[in-house]
Amino acid sequence: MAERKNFSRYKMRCGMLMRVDSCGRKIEEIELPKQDQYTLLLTADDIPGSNDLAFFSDTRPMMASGITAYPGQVAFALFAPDYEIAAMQMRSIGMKLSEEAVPVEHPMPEPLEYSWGEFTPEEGADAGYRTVESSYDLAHEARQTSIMYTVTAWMENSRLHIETPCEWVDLIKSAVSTAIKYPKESIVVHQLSHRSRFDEFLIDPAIVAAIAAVAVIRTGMPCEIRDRAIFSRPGIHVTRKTVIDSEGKPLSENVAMTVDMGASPVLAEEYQRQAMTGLIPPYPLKEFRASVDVRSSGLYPAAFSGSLGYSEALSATEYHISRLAEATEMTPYSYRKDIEKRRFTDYIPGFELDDQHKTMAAAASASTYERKWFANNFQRHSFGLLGYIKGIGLASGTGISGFSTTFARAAKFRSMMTYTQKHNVTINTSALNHPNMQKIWRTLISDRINPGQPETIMFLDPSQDTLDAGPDVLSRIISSLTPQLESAARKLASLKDTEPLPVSVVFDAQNTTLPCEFQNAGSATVVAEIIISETDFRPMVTAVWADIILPQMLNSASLRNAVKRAILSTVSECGFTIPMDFSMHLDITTNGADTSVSSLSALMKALTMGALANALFQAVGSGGSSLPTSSSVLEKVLSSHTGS
Amino acid sequence: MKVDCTIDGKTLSLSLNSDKPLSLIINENLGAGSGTNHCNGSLCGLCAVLVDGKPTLSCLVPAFELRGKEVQTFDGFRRTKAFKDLEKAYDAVGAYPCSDCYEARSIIFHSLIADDVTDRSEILKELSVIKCSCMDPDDQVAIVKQGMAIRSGKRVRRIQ
Amino acid sequence: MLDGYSSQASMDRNIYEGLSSPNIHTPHNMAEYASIITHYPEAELWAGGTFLMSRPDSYPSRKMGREIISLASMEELHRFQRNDRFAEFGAMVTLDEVMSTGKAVLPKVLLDNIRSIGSRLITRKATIGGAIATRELSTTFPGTLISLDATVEIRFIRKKRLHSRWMQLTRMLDKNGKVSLPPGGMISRIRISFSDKDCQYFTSIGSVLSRPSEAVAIAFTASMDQDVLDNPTIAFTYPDIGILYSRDIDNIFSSLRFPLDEGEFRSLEQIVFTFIDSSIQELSRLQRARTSGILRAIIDDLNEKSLTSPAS
Repeated sequence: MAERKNFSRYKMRCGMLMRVDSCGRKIEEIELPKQDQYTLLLTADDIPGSNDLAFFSDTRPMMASGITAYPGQVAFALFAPDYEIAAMQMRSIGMKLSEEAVPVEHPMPEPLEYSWGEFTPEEGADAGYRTVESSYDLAHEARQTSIMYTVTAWMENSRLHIETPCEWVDLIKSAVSTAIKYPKESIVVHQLSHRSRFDEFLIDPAIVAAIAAVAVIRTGMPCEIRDRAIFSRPGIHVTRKTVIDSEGKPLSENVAMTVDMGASPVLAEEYQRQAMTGLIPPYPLKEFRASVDVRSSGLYPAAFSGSLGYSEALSATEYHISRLAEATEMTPYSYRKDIEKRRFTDYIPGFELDDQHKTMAAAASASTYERKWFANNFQRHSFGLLGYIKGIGLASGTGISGFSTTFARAAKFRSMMTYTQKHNVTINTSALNHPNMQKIWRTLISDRINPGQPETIMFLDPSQDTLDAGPDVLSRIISSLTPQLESAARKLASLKDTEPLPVSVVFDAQNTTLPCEFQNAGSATVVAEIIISETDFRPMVTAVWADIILPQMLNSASLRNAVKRAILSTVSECGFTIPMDFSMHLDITTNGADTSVSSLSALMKALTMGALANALFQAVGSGGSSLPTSSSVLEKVLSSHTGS
Repeated sequence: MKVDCTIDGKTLSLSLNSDKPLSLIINENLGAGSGTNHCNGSLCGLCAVLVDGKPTLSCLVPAFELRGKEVQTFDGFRRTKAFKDLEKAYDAVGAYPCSDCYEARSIIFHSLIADDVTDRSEILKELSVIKCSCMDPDDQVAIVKQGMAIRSGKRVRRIQ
Repeated sequence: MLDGYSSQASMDRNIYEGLSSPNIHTPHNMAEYASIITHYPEAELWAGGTFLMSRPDSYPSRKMGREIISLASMEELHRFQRNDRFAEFGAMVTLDEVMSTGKAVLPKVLLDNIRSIGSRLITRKATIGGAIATRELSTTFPGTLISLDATVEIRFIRKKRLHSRWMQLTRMLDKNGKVSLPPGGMISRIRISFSDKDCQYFTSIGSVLSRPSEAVAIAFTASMDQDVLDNPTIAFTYPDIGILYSRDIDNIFSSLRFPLDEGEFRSLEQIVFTFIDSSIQELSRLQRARTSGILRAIIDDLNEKSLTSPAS
């Protein structure tokens, strides 16, 4: 694979992007300073191929063409001999957008509905029934982060090279290929290391790479574009009504989730399936009705943000369970101790909740949850007297990973494992680029085919024949590909002795034969304790307790790190600060079950959000429990409580 | 303007805009392999380098202040024994900074270990300049202490 | 291999090179400074550069033909001296140096202010002179120095000659609460008298740089004599607005008898906010609530002190 060249900066062009801030506006005029041979301005009209980025079944115009399609859309790119000149020229460019917005239509799927059973109140018994309602909000948010990234494109021996951080190599190739009408096989992508905690390197780098590639064609020089990673999350609103009997047992439930995905929705149908999975509660119900309605708006297009709906929906469910508990005057922990089994649904199988109970008991005991819950409730109205207010929240759930079975079947992401005549094993996949992960997988595969010889397992370098294993999102590469690799290795181990060599096994990158949309794997509980001071109104998380039971652990240290990062990132994302005396108590154990590994990051995100929302509710009540929170929101809520 | 300085052991004479921040110089003028974040004024803390041995946010250092200075970027630091020791400390504690802040945090960890800072609040205060919430405060303190233990272990061996 | 601008010339580059590169002047003493500032009265003074460099889009500069005077080489601005009555800092003494050289002797309120900044990566770079002279946003330092009754030496050009004058920092506040310097003026030294004020509080909430409209800082110094305050001084800093100080408010504090009950606290709070509202246009709701919270914390502590101090 060609290494990235150390280009002479004299012979390359540096690009910057101008993005629009609203959708449906007509670009009436772009006032340009005098251009010369050293600068290049690119608009949608300069793209020789298609301006549309295809992402599964969705398409999104990369650059604004006449009318802006979404906020954050690239209006134009400016290339100059260096970034200083590009920046100065960019400042002198004026862009006039129409004042009136033209409605931009986005085809949206019908609301996804799911239900079972019917509940008819027994005659004479309805006097004891009560309805518990909750409303859970997570605001849409989009912002440029402080993380700078650079995408470089250059041509060498009729191959176009792209260097970029990215989560899906094939998307970069497709975007570039269609933009400059260049064969996909002649495009080489060099992946830069990145963290991508908000999936910020999934879609944007493909657009930036396509623009850089157009610039390479136009200038005949290597071109790079510097941009800032964008954090973007959909807004959700969940309302839920549950009818409970006189003992607090839920009988029927109606839940409606609306999702604001911004101006250019991505994978709306898959979002609905994932969200529905999170909305289904763990407790038994005689009747359940749920709907997930995805809508578009004029806001910045929401991207994946470490989750595609499951985390958000699960946190809403966890929030509601605590409201049910309070309605029955029990602590949330005591309330859910008696729920034994989850029912089988189209979205998630039925299973015993023993492991979840164990994690709840461990986290509740380590955090002295019950005692603190009662103490905080007692002090809830003493804000002015104490000078602070505290809250503690608990959330518990099970993990899923990757895309739904329906989606995986349609997408057909594949990889291939071959046993060669030299008795080596080669793996052809676009995933697994990380050296540490390759090391773990080598051991896993060699244990099944060539025990004790991990050096005989080889991952093929990216080439035109590389099979696309799909994007590295929702922890699917680690979670969903692992069992598929293991199963392929088992199959190959028997085939190598019966078939002529070389022998290959082509396998799906994700399980496509599950009876439900998702498989549950792993259980966890998170308890979060918060404090809000009367002096500064800063929401602070003082401690987090997390207890996790997993089927297996590939690498304990990296797993612990991933869990901690997911919790801490979610805490910040929800608007909380972490004081110096913050403590985190984490316990991860395995139960040896033969099920797949879940996306722990998505589960931790869900449970941390749920625990924080519950802690906020205890501290400030329903008026201030929307996420993300802030000092100004809390000040308003608390001032209304104290009447000051 | 011409700026004579040493970056990662190489004596350089760079012709630069006089107010160009060091973070951009590292990204644009030092060839492939060198790089650090440039947050354009949001003080993200991810561009820390060593200037004359002290950790410094490179976005706050203009080119004209570089004259005669010795700069060590993470690219230079990763080739030192001190970095190998720091990696051992990461392994021993079982905690690692994420890829966003790995470089800057490693440089600050190194300076805390070199300066023998043991006070928890001092350690966390120094690291608070990095606006990336990927690490547990307890782990960060443990890494600094572990780093000191590794270093003092080496000293003891040398004396023996 | 390095690929800096120092390699062979290129036609592409030369036409642009130096377009926005400011001229840097590095005087070594006051005479050289005087000569430069006389030639370039509009030149920008560069102390630590922390504030200037941390503004969004600070590079490349929007201004063409910028002249910058870097004060880093002026030896006399780096001096720190003290005797039994006062401490005197050159404007280029960094906050880290203030902290390390004066830890044992300097007033708590100043040390707390430096501690509140956090990382030494910032305090090693930021200078005390620079922290006072920022214009766009107010840092917390002028307020703290006002509470310590600090005086500053100003160097300024008049009739092409460099003059010097010592002024109380309070007198440098303009009507908007910003520290104002005469054109071409420079703060060269800061002097803080040692006092035996035993009640010193510095509280800063929120980020001056990233969320100035939510940030508040209050610096308060006084001595407590039985149940009254002797020589109290209080300064409020709202980074997006300015610094608020009034001798009238100090006098109100002098007239208080501790401990204050809830009603007395409410009246004090009302007086303070009447003063704030009459001085500035718009205080954000959160700044108001935080001001009130800090004030309450100070009064609570003073109440406690008054109750526990031995009767004379």
